[in-house]
Amino acid sequence: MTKSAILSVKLSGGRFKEAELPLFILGDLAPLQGLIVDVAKWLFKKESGRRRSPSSFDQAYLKIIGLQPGSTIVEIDTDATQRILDGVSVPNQEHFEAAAKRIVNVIGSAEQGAEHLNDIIPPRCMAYFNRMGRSLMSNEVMEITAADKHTARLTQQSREVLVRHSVGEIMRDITVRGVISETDLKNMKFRLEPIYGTIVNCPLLEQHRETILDALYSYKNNEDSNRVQVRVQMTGMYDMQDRLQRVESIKSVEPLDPLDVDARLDRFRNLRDGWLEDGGVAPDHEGLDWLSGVFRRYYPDDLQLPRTYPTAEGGVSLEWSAGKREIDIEVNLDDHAGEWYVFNKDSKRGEEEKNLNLDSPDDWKWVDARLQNLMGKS
Amino acid sequence: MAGKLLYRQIHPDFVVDKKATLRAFKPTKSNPNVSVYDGSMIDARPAWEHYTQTLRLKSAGVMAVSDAECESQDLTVTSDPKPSFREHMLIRFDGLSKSAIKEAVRSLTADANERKWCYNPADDGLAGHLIN
Repeated sequence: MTKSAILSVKLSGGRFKEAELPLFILGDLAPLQGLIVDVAKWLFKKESGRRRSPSSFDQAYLKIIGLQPGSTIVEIDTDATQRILDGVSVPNQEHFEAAAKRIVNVIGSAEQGAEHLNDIIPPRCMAYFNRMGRSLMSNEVMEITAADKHTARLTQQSREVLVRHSVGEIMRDITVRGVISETDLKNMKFRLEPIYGTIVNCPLLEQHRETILDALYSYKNNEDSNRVQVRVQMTGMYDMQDRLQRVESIKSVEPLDPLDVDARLDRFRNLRDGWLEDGGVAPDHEGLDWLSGVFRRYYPDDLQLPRTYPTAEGGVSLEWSAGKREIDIEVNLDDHAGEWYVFNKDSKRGEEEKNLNLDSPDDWKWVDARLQNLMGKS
Repeated sequence: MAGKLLYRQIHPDFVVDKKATLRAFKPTKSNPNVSVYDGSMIDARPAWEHYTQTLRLKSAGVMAVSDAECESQDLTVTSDPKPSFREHMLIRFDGLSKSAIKEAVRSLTADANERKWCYNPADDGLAGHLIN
């Protein structure tokens, strides 16, 4: 950290690569501005006994002063629209530095499961964590270091602890797949019926109107196959019981491929034990999350999507047609194993069998190559 | 391949893009045989009505394989009448090796999908039994 920075933020894991700053993270860092100023004002009032803080606090702003290599390290310092007489110092700099230390302290305490976070910063300030670090994924970390070298890790978990100490609601970026059953153009809202989950009313933005109306017109079809399913990326507010309370904003609305694997996996989340005539084990939701993750990670976008079905044993069957051949992988959601099988419809005989480890990128590469080959020669 | 048709009810989750999965013709751990309706005693539509209304089970529609197609895979087909279900038959997989079962299941699925739907309730405008 350079001498003048009051905070540095090291981004690591997942999408963060050496010395690169993805643009989406700027929205996750921006709330630091309000957070530091609010905590600095609170400290000033606490120390001085005054009820109001000087207006100079509101002229201060944070700025990125550098990117350091070694994962991605963003260095942040204060500046002000109006400096004090010597033209060098930012007014109330000592309070901003103290606020930065408090913020690192409160994140560290949340990470360690401490209960009395409200002694470190005021509860209302915890609400900033609803936006700060919101787009972090489960394998990503914002490691924040104050000028005194103390460090704390903001993750999905520590962020949730902080937000729950403030307003009792947590904001999350989520993706919901479903059908659109109603629109209200007067109030610019639409009703989304998720494949899995409860119905939500969403704000209708002009840029999404055409997609939404196309999906709505298809809703009257008796056959599911003729209904356009959509994928909606949104920001939702969840209560303490983890229930979606309302939709804050909509980022995108996209029509789905009829074979979309995630949409099919969502459908299987509704299955209960005994779903088939002869029994039928409901698939494990964590297993479905795992399959969704590896499929997105390893299956090429340009390859024909499989038809995705549940199995009676609680697994998933992925099936492709390639001319005279039918190809399938029976996926075991418990041990992440796959059974590859190629059947020739002309000879009525099996041509290939292979056991797969679907956690292995190499096995997925093998599947991709075999599928390309079989589809090419079909 | 000629022969008597054997009607199989297809669970709604076993249909994508109007094609049935091989799971629709695969015996399960709890039942080593596959239940079908005797096509010489009942048509596809009344078979679907019996399955969904009398037995109150879920079906997206009816597909079929023939007894000759079963025999070509060394599967036997036996009558298994029940008091309110006298058309009930079983395609029997017992006695087949694991690899022979794998081939037989896929062969029946291919035959059924090739024949396409014998009865699709959506053709009658019936909602609630939707074909994916």
